[in-house]
Amino acid sequence: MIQGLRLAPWVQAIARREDLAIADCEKCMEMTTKEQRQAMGCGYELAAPEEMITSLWSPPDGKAGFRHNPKLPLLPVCAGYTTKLPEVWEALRAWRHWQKGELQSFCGGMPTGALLIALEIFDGEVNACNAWEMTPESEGGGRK
Amino acid sequence: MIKLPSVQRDFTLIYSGDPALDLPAFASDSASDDEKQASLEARAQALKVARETGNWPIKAGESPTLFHFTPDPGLAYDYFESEIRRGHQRKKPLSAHELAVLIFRIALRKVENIGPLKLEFEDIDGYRLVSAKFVESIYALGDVGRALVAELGALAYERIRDPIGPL
Repeated sequence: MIQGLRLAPWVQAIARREDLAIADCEKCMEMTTKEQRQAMGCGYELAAPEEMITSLWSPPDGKAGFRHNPKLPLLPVCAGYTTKLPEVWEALRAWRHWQKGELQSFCGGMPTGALLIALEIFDGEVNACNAWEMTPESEGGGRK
Repeated sequence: MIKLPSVQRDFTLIYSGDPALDLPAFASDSASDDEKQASLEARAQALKVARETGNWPIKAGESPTLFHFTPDPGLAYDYFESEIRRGHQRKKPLSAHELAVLIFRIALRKVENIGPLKLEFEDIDGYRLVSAKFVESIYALGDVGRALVAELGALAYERIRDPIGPL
């Protein structure tokens, strides 16, 4: 769930700019072979040995891009899969309500500790992604 | 109705041996070791995807037994921890199966399509748990009953202990 939450804003931002194959799993499955999907780290397929995962999508990593601890590399699972996990979608929906101060309405009561942590992770990454979108390309951002 | 994996609301688990699940078949006894291994891997992968996505493969026209668990047992989780502590104090820690049964009793909220069996709860030390009678009625199904409680209890424990997984 952590990887899905962290990559979701980046997948959305890049999909707005270009045709991003991983953004639609059904379409991806129609257009690719099982071996190609395994090379992309598709979560629906049997995991291939790590050295065979050669086409894993990753978010922009320029100066203002996606940051992560180099000692904790991204898991070799496609962002198209992780960002669509139900708990990730739940957190994304909750985030919309949380922004408007209506989280308890969404939850039908108090949010769980896990949901609050998920919101913090997602919100932090949304901010990082927004900063990247506003930073000029010449400075390692995504603004053209 | 199947409830998707959630960190806020009840979620559904289905026992891997439920005959209504449309999983890759086990290889036959006469199959080679590689074929047997491949069939086990394909089955494990199908279950992994179903548990992660909540998209369970169901045979047409069939209805599996749905076990709905809470991701947050609240105060009842204190009972779980106190039982673990008591086990250590007695120098007789709970076995993996006992832990799974305990979580099953703490986190299970509702069951659908379980025939004549009826889910009941009981108060133990002020905590609301699934009744021992209900667990025994599942055990009465034989080995499959014990395996079911162990599997679902262990899966529920994973979600409760570590609700925000690395994926």
